[in-house]
Amino acid sequence: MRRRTVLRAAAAGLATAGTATTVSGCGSGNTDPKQISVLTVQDPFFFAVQRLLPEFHRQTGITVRLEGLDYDTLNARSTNAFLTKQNSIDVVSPDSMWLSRWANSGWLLSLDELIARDRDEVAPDDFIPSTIHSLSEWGGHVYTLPAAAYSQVALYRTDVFDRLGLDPPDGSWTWDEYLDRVRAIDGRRVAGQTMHGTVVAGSGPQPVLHMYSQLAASNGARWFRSFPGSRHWDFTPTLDSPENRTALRMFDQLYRNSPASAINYVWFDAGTAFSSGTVGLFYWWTPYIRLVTRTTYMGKGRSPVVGRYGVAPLPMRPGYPQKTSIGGYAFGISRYSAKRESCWRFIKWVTSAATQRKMALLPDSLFADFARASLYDDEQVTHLYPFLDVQLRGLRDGDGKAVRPPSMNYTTIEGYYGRRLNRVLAGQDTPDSALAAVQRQATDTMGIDGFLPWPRASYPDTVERTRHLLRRLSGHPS
Amino acid sequence: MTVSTPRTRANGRSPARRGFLRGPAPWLLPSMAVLILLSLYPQLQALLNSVRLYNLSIAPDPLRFVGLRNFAYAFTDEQFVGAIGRTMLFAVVTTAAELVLGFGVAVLLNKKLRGVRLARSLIILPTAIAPAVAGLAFRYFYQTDGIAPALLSAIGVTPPEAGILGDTHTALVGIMVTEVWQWTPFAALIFLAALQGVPHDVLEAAAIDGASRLRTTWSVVLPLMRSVIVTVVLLRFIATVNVFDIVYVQTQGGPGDATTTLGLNIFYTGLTYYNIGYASALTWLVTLFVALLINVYLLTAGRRSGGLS
Repeated sequence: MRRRTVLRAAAAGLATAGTATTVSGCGSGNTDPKQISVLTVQDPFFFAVQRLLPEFHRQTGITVRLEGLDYDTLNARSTNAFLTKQNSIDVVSPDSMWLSRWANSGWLLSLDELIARDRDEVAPDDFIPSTIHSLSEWGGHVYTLPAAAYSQVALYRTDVFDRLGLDPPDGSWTWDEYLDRVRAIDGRRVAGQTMHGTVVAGSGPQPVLHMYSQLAASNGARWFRSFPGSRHWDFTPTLDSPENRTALRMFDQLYRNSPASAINYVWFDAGTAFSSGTVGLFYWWTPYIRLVTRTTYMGKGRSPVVGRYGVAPLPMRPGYPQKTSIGGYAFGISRYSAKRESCWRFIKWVTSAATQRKMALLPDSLFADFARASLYDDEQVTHLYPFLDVQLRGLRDGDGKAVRPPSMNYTTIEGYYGRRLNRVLAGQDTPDSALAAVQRQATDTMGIDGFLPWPRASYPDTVERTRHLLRRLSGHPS
Repeated sequence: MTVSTPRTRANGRSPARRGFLRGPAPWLLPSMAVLILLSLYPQLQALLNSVRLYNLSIAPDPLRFVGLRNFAYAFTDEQFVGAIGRTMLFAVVTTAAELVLGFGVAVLLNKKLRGVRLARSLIILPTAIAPAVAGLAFRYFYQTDGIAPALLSAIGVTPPEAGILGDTHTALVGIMVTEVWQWTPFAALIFLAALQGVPHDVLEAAAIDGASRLRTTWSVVLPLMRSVIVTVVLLRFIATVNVFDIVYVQTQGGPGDATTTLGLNIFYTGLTYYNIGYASALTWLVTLFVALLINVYLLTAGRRSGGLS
């Protein structure tokens, strides 16, 4: 073969390869409407959904490729797919803190019309309004429907409290009483074990901020001067307020009464420390009511605390209204998906009361994180899962947007805020100087990002407003 | 009258073009194209992003041109400045340790000892493991009820209460040990190849002249290996400045920011906080900084050896 022929062949090959790459880059998703790709995290609901997928396939003929990722990977992969306008993701469950960014960027479809169209099937007014408000609604539109909703509660060892003569918590205990009990337990020997008073999730940025922001919100601390509940939004940071300083000093004290290695604990590490039997009391997301019954995260081994722990509502700070954090995962449809009807059928199915009930009743299931009010009255479910009444109270008191306000640049602030908190626990910073630094950085961020003064429309983003929205979508007059 | 005609063949090609087609250039074109696509394009795109307000937290597209503001902000960003110091410490200590240990291991493997062939085969194993897997293995090794604290206790050293990776004073050291464990065999194998290339007659001449082993190593072997040493230093230094996986797996940059390296800092800025413009500026600053260090090093090393081969 002559050199020119070889060169031409090589050039043609390169051109073909280039064209193929370009074409595939436009949308790498499968175009069969009977196959959808769903991205989420590996929380307990994921495992229950996974087990019921064959049933969904039998009912609808739709095959679901369900992927469970870790938190950061879910964020990175979804953002990358949206930025490059790929249709490789059909349904996705954003963390509630990403919703404003995704909705404003136009990456998720509003579900309002679909909900209103299928209102009898969806039963929107069965959703606890605080869960839709915190997880699914932005700018007056519903973008996702919750498959799992969490609030925060306190878990305590009943046997340790009995042995040490401590009063079990009641529904109106305070954070000072909480800290007193933690101190009373720390270092004491119970049943041959030296107890830690409590355990914190100290790893930054997200785990520590998830735990700390609850304590701060209960103590009256807020991130901004007036967002999201007020008519006129003012994003001037208030992160070094006296309430926040008090809360951080207390959180530092909680860490001093935790295992020292809690400085690097992520979410499930804190739960596993409690389930190991060496922690007297801690507060955390409601899935841990059930996860602590296992020795490892979603493992099979029965933990030594089974039958020896109680669950109580979060403590309060006298003079401040209780604000409970709400988290969880809710499914929405990617704007770039070409299979919207199939996606919507999946979302309706997975968030329906019937499927959620089945997920909870599966053998060895650890899922009872319902966003639907009706399931908290279900006799079989409440019999199987104790403490659902406390969980429901947390959800009803809940206001996720007050505890962690979902400004579009939340993840930026979360990054340095969470790392500063970790530095305080590590002894590299004091609570006051850390909060002063976070305040400075947040003021810079809000200024640079164009939030000061807020140039766009404001509205009181409250649970009450979401309640009206749900009534409207249900076909009732608002 | 003389008429000059252009030196072209019947097909009209100029000699320069003929030379181009007959030389190696056409065969390099595909790889050059791939190189430009995969290497140069992302760097130029990053350069473009670095001078724009491009933050996915506030908008899915770049907002406006901001000049050098992202670069200027980096010098006031204490997390970035702190990460530079930490990363340099990490890179210098681990590269030096890998160099010294690698040379020692290479010398041992170069001897005719029993089992040395098996050792040569096995020594590559740590390097063959993915860094994330090595990081995870060492995370368990270091955990409070792991082997490392037990070994420390056995020799009378009290391990930190928060664990080796949980204490701000020991976390970076723990990661350094993981890095050195994984990459010392790489240095050792390269040094072993270089040692085997040292001519025997030179060594014999040194021995006849009465040079001790240490003297022979210092004055004969090491100078003959200089270009290999420079290469290993360069490769390892660049790799350790960019360290990411083992830190992410072991500490995610904590406790506090005790192990937040440049790679991790840029990752968080770009892919967690989604400040693409600022992360691009940081990437370029690190690239320029490393390029500067490498050139200074090469100039210094070249001057000492009178030019590198």
